[in-house]
Amino acid sequence: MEIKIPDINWLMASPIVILSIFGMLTLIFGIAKGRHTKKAVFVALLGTLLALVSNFICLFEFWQKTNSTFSEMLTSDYISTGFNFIFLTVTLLSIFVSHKYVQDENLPENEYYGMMLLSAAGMMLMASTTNLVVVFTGLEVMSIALYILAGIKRNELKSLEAALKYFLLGAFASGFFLYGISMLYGATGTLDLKIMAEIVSKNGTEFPMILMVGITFLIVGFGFKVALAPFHVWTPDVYEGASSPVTGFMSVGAKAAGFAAFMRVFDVALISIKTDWIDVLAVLAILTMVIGNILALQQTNFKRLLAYSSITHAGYLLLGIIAGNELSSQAIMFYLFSYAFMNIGAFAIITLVGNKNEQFVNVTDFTGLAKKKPLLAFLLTIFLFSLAGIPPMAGFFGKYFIFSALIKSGATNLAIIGVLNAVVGVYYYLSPIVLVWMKEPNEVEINDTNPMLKFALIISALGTILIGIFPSQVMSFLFQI
Amino acid sequence: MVPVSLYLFLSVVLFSVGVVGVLTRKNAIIIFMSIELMLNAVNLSLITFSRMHGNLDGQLLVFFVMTVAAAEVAVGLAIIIAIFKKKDTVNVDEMNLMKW
Amino acid sequence: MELAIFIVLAVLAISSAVVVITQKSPVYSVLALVSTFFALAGIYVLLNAYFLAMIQIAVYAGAIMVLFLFVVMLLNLKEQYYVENPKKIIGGVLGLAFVFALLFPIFEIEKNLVPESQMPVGDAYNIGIRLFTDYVFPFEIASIILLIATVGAIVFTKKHS
Repeated sequence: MEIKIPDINWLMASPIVILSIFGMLTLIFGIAKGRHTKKAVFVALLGTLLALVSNFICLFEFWQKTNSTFSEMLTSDYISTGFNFIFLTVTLLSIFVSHKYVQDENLPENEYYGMMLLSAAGMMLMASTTNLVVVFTGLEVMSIALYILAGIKRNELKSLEAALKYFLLGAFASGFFLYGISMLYGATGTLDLKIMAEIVSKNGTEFPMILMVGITFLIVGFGFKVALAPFHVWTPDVYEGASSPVTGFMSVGAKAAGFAAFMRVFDVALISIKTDWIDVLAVLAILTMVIGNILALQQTNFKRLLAYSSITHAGYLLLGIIAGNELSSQAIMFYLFSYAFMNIGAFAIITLVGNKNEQFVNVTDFTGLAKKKPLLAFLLTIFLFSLAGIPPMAGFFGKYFIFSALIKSGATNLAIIGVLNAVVGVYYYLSPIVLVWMKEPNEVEINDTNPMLKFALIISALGTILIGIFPSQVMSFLFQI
Repeated sequence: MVPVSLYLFLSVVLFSVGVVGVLTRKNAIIIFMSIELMLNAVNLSLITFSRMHGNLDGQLLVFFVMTVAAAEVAVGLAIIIAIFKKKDTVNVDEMNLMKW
Repeated sequence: MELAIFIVLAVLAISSAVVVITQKSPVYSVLALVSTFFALAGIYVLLNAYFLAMIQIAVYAGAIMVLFLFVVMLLNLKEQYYVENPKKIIGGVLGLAFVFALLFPIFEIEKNLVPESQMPVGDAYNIGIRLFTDYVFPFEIASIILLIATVGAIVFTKKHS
């Protein structure tokens, strides 16, 4: 029998391939003893920038129609390129934020950046495929690398505990996720989401009950990965225990990757049986927003506060999945794109104020920041305003697009609940701001000789404001409408 | 000939046993073994469906599940060893530096 | 005949799975898990997945379980019996009921397995051809996963300055 090698379009694969190769190069630089060991960060930066360039080329090459290569395993369309921009932005900013932190805490530099790049490659895989095998392998590339990043401060028990909790619950969730995939395969006989969509829409499936069970398991699996309400218990602990730059990286990256795959499965493959799963997701979304908001009110640790805030944001994003129309996929991407800037910005400030060993990460440690470092306080205010969704910041338009997509799809009630939650959420974002501006300063010393982190802060602040001022231009650039 | 539903029944039972193991045990290593049990239940159902539909895709996914399981074991056991060195326990209820 | 073999293997798999989660000593759990894996390998053979049956024994029973056993012995966990919390056991029973209720739909499947002649046998030849043509992309990803795992194991266990 003759073996046919599938056609390969390397341009389409280039962002992922470049990022993986540079991830490995970063690791290899660790073996070279001597003067090369401190250069891992530059290799990582170069790799991310090159991947960004090749993603631009992909955007202009493939935006008109969906293209796939490697026997339909790899897809390039506006969803994949849009999400790749999010992941690469997150990686780039995280590298800048990490630079000094990694040196100060004496972390293994090569492994740190290597894992970061490979994890980002895994996220990109999840967004640029319509095949469940690749979704699963990409998910595992991302997750395993993130387990390692969460525990990379291996001298500290807290970090290791975070890694263990993340690992055990992540592997548990992978089990559910896989069982869901297996049921979908059992009901339709294919692992390709596009073929699955055809089968499901044409005649329903042979085994509708199996399909429903599969959907339930998939929701549980995704719920763990993106931190939806009943499955969110790991989030605050992992966010608190992991190093601040890593937390920033995974809070945005893992969430975006999870929602990319979520969108591909539910809004592409299963859209024709939307009525069957929409109620479950609606209940989960409401639960997620409410629980995230209520628990965030009681937090004293800034990282835990942002962990609950990220749970609430997952709730808003889930509303986008529920809307399930053309507008909503763009809204989700826009939301995540702006979330990348504001959340990483917030974690960058926590990294800076936290100082050695992250000793100052309580909300009260930020008291009177405005008197000591007015610019830093101003930036923190921008990020928190944006997270709260106050116009004209980027976060406001993210929510605005999601809610309007939701109203367009007819779920006005849900949109109202979402808006109410957003209003309640403003309260816990404002209380740190009050502490920062209105109170007398405390003795916490802030050591801000950290040029790379400052650069990341400026970029994130500019991103947060500019996206907020020119939302429609950003949309039309990302999606070439 | 064994009916499909019997194979799937076995898979469901193994999966449930794995889930119960994860929810009830405290020893991190045993929790981890229960997760392996769940993955094996998934593999069994994939192979059954593969045979039911008459294509090999399910079996190929099993190949990747096994690879991932091996990788997860390496990382997971390394984390457990690192914690044990520091804390002298693998009891997940004693992992309480942060509110669980 | 096939049914008889299936029942024997299934009973073996389930009973050793129960032993895995009820044993206090991790060493016994590991050994019981090995026997579950062997039983499952036998069932894969019944389903004509010969290659995977082989891999199941080589990778799971061979590599993974040896790693588990090695770690259990290394940590010398024999004396660490943890008192189990009754609340958690109630949670477990609830979890069991939940999963069972959810999975009853499997009995709606009355379709039979396709006859052996109508599908490619899952041997090394057929799996290999698919793996290196259609599935070559995920195959490459698998290599990255293994690289990450290697790095992870080293990061967590090596002595650092």
